Amino acid sequence: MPIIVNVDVMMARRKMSLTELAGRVGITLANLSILKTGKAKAIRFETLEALCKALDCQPGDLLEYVETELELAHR
Amino acid sequence: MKASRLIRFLQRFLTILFYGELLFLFVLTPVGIVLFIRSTHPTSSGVRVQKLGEPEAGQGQPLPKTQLPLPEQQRSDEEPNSWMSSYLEINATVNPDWPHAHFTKWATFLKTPLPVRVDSTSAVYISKAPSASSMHYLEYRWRNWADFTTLPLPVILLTIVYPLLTIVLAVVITYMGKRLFDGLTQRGYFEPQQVSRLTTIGWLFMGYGLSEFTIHVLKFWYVRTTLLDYGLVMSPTVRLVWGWPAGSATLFIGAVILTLAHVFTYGLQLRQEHELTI
Repeated sequence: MPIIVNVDVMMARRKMSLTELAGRVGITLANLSILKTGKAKAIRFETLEALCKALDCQPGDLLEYVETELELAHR
Repeated sequence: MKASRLIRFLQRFLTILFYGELLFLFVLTPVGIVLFIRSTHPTSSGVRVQKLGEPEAGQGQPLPKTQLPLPEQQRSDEEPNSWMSSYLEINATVNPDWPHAHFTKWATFLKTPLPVRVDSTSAVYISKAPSASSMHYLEYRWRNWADFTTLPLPVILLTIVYPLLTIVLAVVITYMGKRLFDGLTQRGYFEPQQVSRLTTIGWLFMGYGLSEFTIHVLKFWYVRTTLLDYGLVMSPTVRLVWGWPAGSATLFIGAVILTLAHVFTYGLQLRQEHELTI
């Protein structure tokens, strides 16, 4: 999927563990893991808001659009 | 999600039905066949069934081998209780006033409710259905294994082999239904296994309906050919009744189940998306 979730990068910058972030955001470890590994199909605005608040960042710091090779080839 | 009372009832019902079918197919049927073979004596065969001959020239004209109903006493002598029969339905509306029907000897059959022997050398009869007045059967009588083996191959296939295959298919459908409802009660509705089983059941129903239709066509063809051979109907004016295509109800059920499987596929997709929305 061309949307990359950079939660792990922000966690490393803030030196925050997975358990601590899950507790602050109010989601389970399993769901946070799904988000971190890029398996999630969608993210709610309220989850995104809670993540930005906990990690003190902007949505753009957490999500990134990367063109795939196929899309580049079609250009 | 907790299964509803109806789902649980259907699960129990299909479980009982499935084991009942297994009992019938693998225990009662073989026992019945063995008892029948043991109780008959091949050497005491009275009337033997002969293979049907080739159609004669001038097909459709009343043939001399057809005989009128036997006197009451003689007929009762020829109908021992040990007879078994293989029936083929004749879906003919026997109406003498019907302008297009030129059934040459149906009037004879209409006069008597008892089976009429159509050939003096073989045990082939035309009998009237007990309930429907217009329905008749082409009846092949046999009373032991030796008689049975002399039946024409199409008769054996259409009256014995096909029903057995139908029962096997019914057992498979029941088993799949049982597993489907087991899954619905234990794991929930929108699971990949449930969708897969529902699709399989839909295709099995479609196959069942298609085989019903095929067999109906084959029976129609065989009965028509046989009646022509015996000169009981005249070609080309023979018209057997052709109502709703056989198996159409089963095909419709199959189509409905396949549509339901599509709905379940969409439901499964929605559930997975919902679960992966954080």
